[in-house]
Amino acid sequence: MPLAFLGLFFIYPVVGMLARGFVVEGHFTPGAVLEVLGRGRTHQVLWFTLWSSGVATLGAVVLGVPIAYALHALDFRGRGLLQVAIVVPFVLPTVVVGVAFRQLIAAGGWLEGLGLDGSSGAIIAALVFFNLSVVVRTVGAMWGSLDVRREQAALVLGATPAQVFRTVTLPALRPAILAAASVVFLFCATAFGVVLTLGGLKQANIETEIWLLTAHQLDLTAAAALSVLQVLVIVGLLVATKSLERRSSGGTGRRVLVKPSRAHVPVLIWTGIVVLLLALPMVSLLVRSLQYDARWSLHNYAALAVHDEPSALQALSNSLQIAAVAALIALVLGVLVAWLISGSAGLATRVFEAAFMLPLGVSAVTVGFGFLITLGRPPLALLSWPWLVPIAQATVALPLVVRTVAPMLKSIDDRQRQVAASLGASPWRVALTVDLPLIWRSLLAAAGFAFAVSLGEFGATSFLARDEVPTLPVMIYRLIGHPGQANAGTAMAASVVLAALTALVMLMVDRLRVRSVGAF
Amino acid sequence: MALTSGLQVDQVTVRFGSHIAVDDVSLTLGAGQVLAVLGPSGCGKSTLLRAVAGLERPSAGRIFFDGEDLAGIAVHKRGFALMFQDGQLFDHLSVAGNVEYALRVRGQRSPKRVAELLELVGLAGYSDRSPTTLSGGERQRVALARALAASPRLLLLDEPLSALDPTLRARLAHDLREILVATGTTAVMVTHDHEEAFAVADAMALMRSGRLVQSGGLNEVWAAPVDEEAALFLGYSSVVDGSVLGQAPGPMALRRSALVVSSDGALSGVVKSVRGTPELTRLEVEVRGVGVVAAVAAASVGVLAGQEVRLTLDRTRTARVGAVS
Repeated sequence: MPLAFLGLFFIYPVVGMLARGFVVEGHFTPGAVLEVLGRGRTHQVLWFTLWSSGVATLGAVVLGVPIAYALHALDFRGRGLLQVAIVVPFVLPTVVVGVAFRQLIAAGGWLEGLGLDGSSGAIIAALVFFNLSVVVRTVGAMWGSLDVRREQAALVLGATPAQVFRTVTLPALRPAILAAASVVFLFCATAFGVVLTLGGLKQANIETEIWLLTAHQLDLTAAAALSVLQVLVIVGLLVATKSLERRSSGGTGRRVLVKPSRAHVPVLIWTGIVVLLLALPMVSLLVRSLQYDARWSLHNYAALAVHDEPSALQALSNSLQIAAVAALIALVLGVLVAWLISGSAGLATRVFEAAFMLPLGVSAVTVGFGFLITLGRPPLALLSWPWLVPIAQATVALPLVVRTVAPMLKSIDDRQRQVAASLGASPWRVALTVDLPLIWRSLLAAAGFAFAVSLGEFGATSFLARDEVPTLPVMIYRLIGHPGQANAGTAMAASVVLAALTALVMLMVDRLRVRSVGAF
Repeated sequence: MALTSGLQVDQVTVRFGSHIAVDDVSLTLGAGQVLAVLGPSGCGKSTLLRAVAGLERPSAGRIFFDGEDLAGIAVHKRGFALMFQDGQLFDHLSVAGNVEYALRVRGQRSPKRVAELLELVGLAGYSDRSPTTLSGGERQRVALARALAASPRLLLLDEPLSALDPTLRARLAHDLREILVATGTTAVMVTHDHEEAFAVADAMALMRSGRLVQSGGLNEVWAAPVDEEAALFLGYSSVVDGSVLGQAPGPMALRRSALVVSSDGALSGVVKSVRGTPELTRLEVEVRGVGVVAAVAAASVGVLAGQEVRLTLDRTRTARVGAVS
């Protein structure tokens, strides 16, 4: 059943999308695609995608690794809170981040003087903002599981602390750093909402270019060409990531946290500064959403309910319903997939597992547009079906659910199930009495995570949401597209509400203490 | 007063919050000597070792080596080496790479010395193997070679053999003793196993609940355990009052073989259980006025449970408890 879902709602739309590009008037004409790849604009877009993702990845790693150490190896007050705070940006809706950065750097913003508005610097900063938590959580999880005695053995043998880091700690962390970097690169290269809201038409990466080509210029051949290019690059990256994962032996246990000493002051200051930088766009967004006509006012929030038809409040209600359905679908399918892949380790399982990770990398825009052109017309006219948006969102959230639940399922010692079975428990009873008590937390966490991601999903939803039933992110994007203080103010207020809601869901998820959430 | 050579631990206390892990411990160890710190798990012996290494900071007391106060000296500048229970090999380096590591961090390179050390621990030809392919015993041998490569002024061994199976442990304990003697290494070994301590060390310190309860040469401690608990921990099977065995009054520790079945024995009791081993028969005998104690009989003597037997005491297999020696 999960395969049928994936086939119908992921592969069919994506292949359909690609076919539209390659097949012109009933003939297979790859020449047109090659022509697109030769265009100057294509090179420009490709180059921008690569270097902006590269710089953002480097930035996230350099900023994130010291924080990973501070939050996963040191014991200080407020550490748990910071661990949550660092993840919030990752689940913030892309549109919200776009709005937050824009109001910060555009005319009238706190950082107007930096002249970043519309620049690649703003896009890169936003990409780092988003992906820092991937580095912190992935590298931190590894760091937290490294046995501190290995470093102590080197220290006692006479290695200086710097030598210990270079020759013992870093080699142990390398697989985690590389895995995090490749995932971050992947996310940066397929970023959509942030690049669209901050870069507009001027700065485009492959993802926004596909959107511009399909939605505005109706040049499907060019869009398909870029999609093929993107899928190839992404599959390559995913394969590379998987092989890195297999090579990383992982930590041996739980690290004993140490109290910070004087030597740790620089890393703590570093962490403090980065956290403040992370908070800056959101604090600025909050403050400015509470101002209207240069005075403190709740006007922007009042406008949420009264603005045009439908109101932002109506859009929020749509979002909540759609995200709940999407989270449920993603959870049911994700658990089935996780259960299937945790059972064995053969080649077929690995291919199966990789197939379900694909939506993580394949652009949501491609998925969304593929839905539109394949499922929105005969033989499968499903577009009017109200389930289409939640299904698209579930497709996008599915890999995250699998990634949260599968490690927990895999960590259950099979002998526990064997003991239960030998005591007379039927397979169902084994699942109910052995597996469920051990994984229910991760199920709840995965559902919450999927809900939060669906709430903010923009790439696919922007194609599929009907005009009269927008989700909140779609609504926000429409608002910032219209000129005027009122629209901008309402967009900021709506962004604050969406951000607060998402952060709240993630806070609750964090209370469940499931380590695999958001780690790659 | 600081000794001019060797290790001196002077009234050291280590606290973790309100928990006192090491409580006012003082010890001395001469150059070239091997000291075993023996105690049950959680008694603070590993913490004491880590304090000597510099990995824990004493909240009171001082530690000297060769007369020098170690308080201000960073871990990596002490010139010691520490070997953990599970080796803590660097899996990303080869066997030779692990051994060479101790040289490399000092800016030295000597493939010859690495080969010598591997030969010393009985792993010649293992240079290019990955540590992940080694057995537990082999890994500990590599860890030992790595620790010795640093030519440490003091070698610290934290339960070095505990993770191994009993046969391997006995063999490696013997090899460890030979290597330490051959290299003239001053060493402190922490263990919970008295047999390991007897096989490797010259001197012994008994710890319990953070406190040092007894220390001295192996034979001194063995011949006069400070109290009943110490006697039992050292491997004596029971402690009884000497008067019930016809000896001078006062607690007396008995080994499992201290009482021997013999027809002219002065004591009598009823056999509760019998377990045959190839060399002798081990019994549990209820002796009136004493309780159930261990005893042995020659394998040729047939003994059955419920039978009344006479026992004699082999005084070489007993020790006076709490006696001032």
